[in-house]
Amino acid sequence: MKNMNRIKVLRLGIIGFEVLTIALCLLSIYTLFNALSTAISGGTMNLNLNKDESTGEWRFVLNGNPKNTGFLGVTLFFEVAVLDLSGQDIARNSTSVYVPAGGANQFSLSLTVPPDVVPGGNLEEAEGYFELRFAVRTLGDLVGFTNILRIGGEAAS
Amino acid sequence: MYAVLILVIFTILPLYGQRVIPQEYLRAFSSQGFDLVDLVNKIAFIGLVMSILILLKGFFEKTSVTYLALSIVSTVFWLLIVFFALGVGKMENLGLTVISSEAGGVSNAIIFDLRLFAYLATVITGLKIVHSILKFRQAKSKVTQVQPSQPLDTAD
Repeated sequence: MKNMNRIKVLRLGIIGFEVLTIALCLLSIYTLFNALSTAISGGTMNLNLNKDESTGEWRFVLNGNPKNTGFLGVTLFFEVAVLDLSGQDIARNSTSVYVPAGGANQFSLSLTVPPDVVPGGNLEEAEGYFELRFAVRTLGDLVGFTNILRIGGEAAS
Repeated sequence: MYAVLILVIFTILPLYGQRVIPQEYLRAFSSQGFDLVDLVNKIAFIGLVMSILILLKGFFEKTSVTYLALSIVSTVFWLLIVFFALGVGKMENLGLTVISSEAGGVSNAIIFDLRLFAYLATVITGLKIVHSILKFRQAKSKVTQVQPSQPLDTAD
């Protein structure tokens, strides 16, 4: 009888664990996609690329005020980098921001590209890569989505 | 009946659906580093194995070791299905899916990290195996409790 109760308790425990796991999985995936759709929607991000004429440096600035309409808090991570043709870093910077459920939070990320890697001061003629990494993590940063975009290569002749 | 249902949902419908999907869509998925045909074939194979396991279990008594072994195998197989679903067709990734594509000097990689659920599913599978063993032992002890009384019953 005691053994039978133990088996029943274990069975109920397994069912509870399964339901909790499925609920957390659905909630996390919903939150991730929700955060993705709001993060890339118009008005939440502002990208600027300016040249400082006095120094010749290019300055990349990404400002954002992402909202989170999901049920769980999310951590957004942004990283921008300029790499040479061999994949070595020329400039890299990153930032992360926590956005609570139903809330919004501001962030700013800037990257300065030195003038010596931009021949003639024209970015389109520069050889190398521009890398943008964007990540969303939720459930205590245990579940996540990352997108790595790399543009560039040798300049068109 | 359950075996037939699994076979229809996981094997017959996906294989039929694969023929209905236009070739352009398949090519579009393939160019994004996602082999839809391979995914459908794997789902069909999973359905076939699951149906066989369910069918086989029906032939054995709950007190037999073969029944216990089949229960454990089908539980482990469900875990592989979870890995398969979390890894979008690649169960060896254990919930970490990487989809990458490259075109015109632009490379894009998308990474889904659902490893937490793969770990939780492994714990659940372990608990289910323990449950199967306890149930098997209970069924066995019930049989051994009944058997000694049988000669006395016939003597009456």
